[in-house]
Amino acid sequence: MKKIDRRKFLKYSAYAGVGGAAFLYLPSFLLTGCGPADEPEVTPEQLNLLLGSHLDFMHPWLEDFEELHGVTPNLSEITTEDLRDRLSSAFAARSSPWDAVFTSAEVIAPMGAQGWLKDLTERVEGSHLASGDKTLVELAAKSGHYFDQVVGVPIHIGCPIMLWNKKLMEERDLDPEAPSLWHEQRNSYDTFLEYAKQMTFERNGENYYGFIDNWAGDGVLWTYRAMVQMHGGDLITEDEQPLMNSEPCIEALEKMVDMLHTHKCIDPASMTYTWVFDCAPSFLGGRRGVFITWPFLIGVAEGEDSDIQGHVGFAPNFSVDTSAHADGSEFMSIPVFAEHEETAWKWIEMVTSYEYQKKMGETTGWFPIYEEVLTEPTVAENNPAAPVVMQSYQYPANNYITENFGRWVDILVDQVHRALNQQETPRDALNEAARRIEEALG
Amino acid sequence: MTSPGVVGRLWANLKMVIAGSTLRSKEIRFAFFLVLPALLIVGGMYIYPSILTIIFSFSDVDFATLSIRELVGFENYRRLLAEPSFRAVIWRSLYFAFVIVFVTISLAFWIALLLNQKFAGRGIIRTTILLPWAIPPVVAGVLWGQIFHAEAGFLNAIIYQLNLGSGNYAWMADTTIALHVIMMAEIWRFLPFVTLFVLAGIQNIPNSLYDAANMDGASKWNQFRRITFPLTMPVLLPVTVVQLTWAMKSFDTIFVLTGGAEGTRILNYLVYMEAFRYFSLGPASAAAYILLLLKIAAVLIFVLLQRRFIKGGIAK
Repeated sequence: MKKIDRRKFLKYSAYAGVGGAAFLYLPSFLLTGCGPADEPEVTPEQLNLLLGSHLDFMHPWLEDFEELHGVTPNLSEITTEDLRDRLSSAFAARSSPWDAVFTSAEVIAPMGAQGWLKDLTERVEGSHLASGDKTLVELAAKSGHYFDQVVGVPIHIGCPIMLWNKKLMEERDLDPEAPSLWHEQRNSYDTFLEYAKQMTFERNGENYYGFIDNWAGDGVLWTYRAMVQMHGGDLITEDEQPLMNSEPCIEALEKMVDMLHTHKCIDPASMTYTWVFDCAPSFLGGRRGVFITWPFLIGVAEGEDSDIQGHVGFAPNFSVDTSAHADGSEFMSIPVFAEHEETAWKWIEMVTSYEYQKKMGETTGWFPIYEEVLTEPTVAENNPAAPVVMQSYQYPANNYITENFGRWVDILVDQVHRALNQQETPRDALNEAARRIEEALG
Repeated sequence: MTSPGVVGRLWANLKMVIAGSTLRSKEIRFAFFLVLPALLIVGGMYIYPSILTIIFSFSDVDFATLSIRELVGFENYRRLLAEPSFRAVIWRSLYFAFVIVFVTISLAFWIALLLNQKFAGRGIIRTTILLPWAIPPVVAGVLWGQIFHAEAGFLNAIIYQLNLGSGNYAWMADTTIALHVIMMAEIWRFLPFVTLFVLAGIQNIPNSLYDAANMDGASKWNQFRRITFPLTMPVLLPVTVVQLTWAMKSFDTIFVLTGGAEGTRILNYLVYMEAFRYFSLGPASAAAYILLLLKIAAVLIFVLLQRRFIKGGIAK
C-alpha cells in the first residue's frame, strides 16, 4: 500500500478544500450572474418576529396567528436592554432577520431618524386603529411617531405609578390611605416627604427607608422626568429640542438631591439600582415605604412570597403643581429591510385588535391601548391597577421621542448623577447638560 | 555589511516564489498557498476595517447607509478634544490602565515568588490560581457586583458581622469607588495570566547565579534586585504591553458593573457609545484612533523604560 506522508496529506487536503469550495461556490456564482436581472424574488409568506422577552404572554397568540393566516411565526426574543444594539447592528448591515420587531420609545426615535423603520402612517390611517370605533389612550395615539411619520404602533401602554407599604405606614402612625389622594392635592410632595422621613429609621440592625427607586444609569430619568413635569416643566420644547436647564428642571433635581443628602429618606442604594428588580427585595421585605415603579409589581407584592401581601397601596404619583408620570408604552414596528411586510402588518393588526387587547388586559399585568378595554370590568378585576394607570394618563406623561434621544439622554443622565453625587449643584449640572447637548447636537 | 532584516528576507522569498523553479521555491509557494486563507481573513477582518475607520474618522458618515456624506478633515478630532468630558475620559483611561498594570504586575511578581518556593500543595495552588482567568468577564463582573451590593453584598455583611459599621453602604453609588471596584475586578481577572508568565520567567533563571550570589554574601533583597527582577524583564516586557492594551480596551466588566456610568467610562466604552448608541461613526472612529495612539504611546514608553531598566539593572 502506498504510504501518505504528512506533507502529502496537507497538500492533498488543501487541494481538496479549495476544489470543493470552487465546486460549491462557482455554480451559484455563475447562476447568479446569468439569471434574469429583473425577475422579482419570490418569498413565500413568512413571519419572523422579534419580541421582548417580557412579552411572553404573546406566545399563545402565535398559534392563533397560524390558525388565522396559515403562517407559522418564527419567534426570536430579546431583553429591552439589548434591543438597541441588536437592531442597530442588523440594520447597519442593511438587513433585517425580522419582519416585525418590538420597539420602545428609546429605540423608535434613533431608528426612525436613520430611516430604518417603515412609515406606517397610511396603514394606520386605513386600519381599525384610526376608525374611531374604539378610543386610543391619548398618549398611545401620539406615541410611536417620528415627526410626522408613524414608525411604531402601540401594543400596550404603561407608566411607573406610586406603590406604598401600608403596614409600615401604620407602624409609624401614618394614615395608610392618604397617599391615594396625593395626586389630586397640589404640593402633596411635601406630605410625601414627611411620610418618607417618618418611615426612615433603624430597627434590629436593619435600615428602613421611606422611599426607594432605581436611580442608576438612565433609570433615574423615569422619576426625574416625572418630577420635571410635576413642576410644570418639560425636557423638550414644542419643536422637540432638548431643554435641560429650565427652572422646573432645576427645582425637580434639587428635590431629588435633598431627598438623598438633606433628608436622607431615600435608600442610598437606589443610586446603584438600575431596574425594578434591584429595588424589589427590600420593598417586598417590608423595609421600604414608597416605591415609584411599574404596576406589575403590585401582583408580585400581593404574592405569597411577599412580606407586604395585603398591605400594598397604589395610586398615581404625588403632586407638586400637578401629578405627572413618564410614559413607558411599547410598540411594534416594521424594519424597512423586512422581507414580509404584509404578514408583519397582519400580526400588528391582530395584536392591536380589540379582542387581543382585551385578552391581554384580562390575563396579564400589561395595559391595553384602548380606553374602552381599560375600563372593562373583567380587565379591572384581573388588573386592579388599570383604572390607576388610566387616571395617571390624565396627567402629563411624555415619552420624549425625539431625534438624538440617546445622546441627550446620556448627557442628561451624566449631569443628573453629578448633581446627585454632589459633584456639582443641580443648577450648574443642568447648565452644563444644556451646554454639552448644544455642543453635541450643534 | 548589515543583515537583510525581516523585510529583506520576505522580499528574497517572494522573488524565489516568482522565479519558482527549484524544489525549495515550490515548497515556499505551497506554504504561501496554505497561509493565504489566514492572510485573507486577517486582511478582511483587520486591515480593511482599520483603513475604513481612519477614513471615517475624517468624515461625516451616514450610519444608515455606511456612506461618507463629506470629508471634514480633523473636525471630529477637534470636537472630541475640545470637549472637557472627553478629555476627562482620556485621563481616566490612562489612570485606569496604568494602575491596573502596576498593581497586577506587582501582585503577580509577589505571588510568582511565593509559588516558586517549594511547599506542600504547590501544584494545587498553581492550578487554583488560574480560576479567575477561566471565568468569563461578564460572570466575574456579576460576582464583583454581588460583593459590593448595597443590600445583599458580601462586603457589607462582613462589616456588619464584625461590628465595623451598619453594613449598609452603597459602595457603587460613589463613582470613584465604582471605578476602583472595576479596576479590582480587572486586576483579579488578569492576575493569573501575568503570574504564570512571571513564574515561567523566574524559573528560567539559572540557579548558579543565586549560588554565586550566596557565596558573595548577597542578601535576599539584593538577589531579587540584581538577579530576579532584571532577568525576569524579558518576560515582563511583553506581558506588560499585552496587559496595558487589554486594560485600555476593557469593556465587559464596566458594562456589567456600572453600565458605563459617568465617572467609570473609559475611552473604549465611549467608542461603543458613539458608534452604537448615537450612530456617530465619524466621532467614534476618531475616538478609536485616539485610543490607538494612546496605546502606542503608552507601549513605547513602557518599552523604552524597561529597556533602559534592563540595561541599567544588568550593568550594575
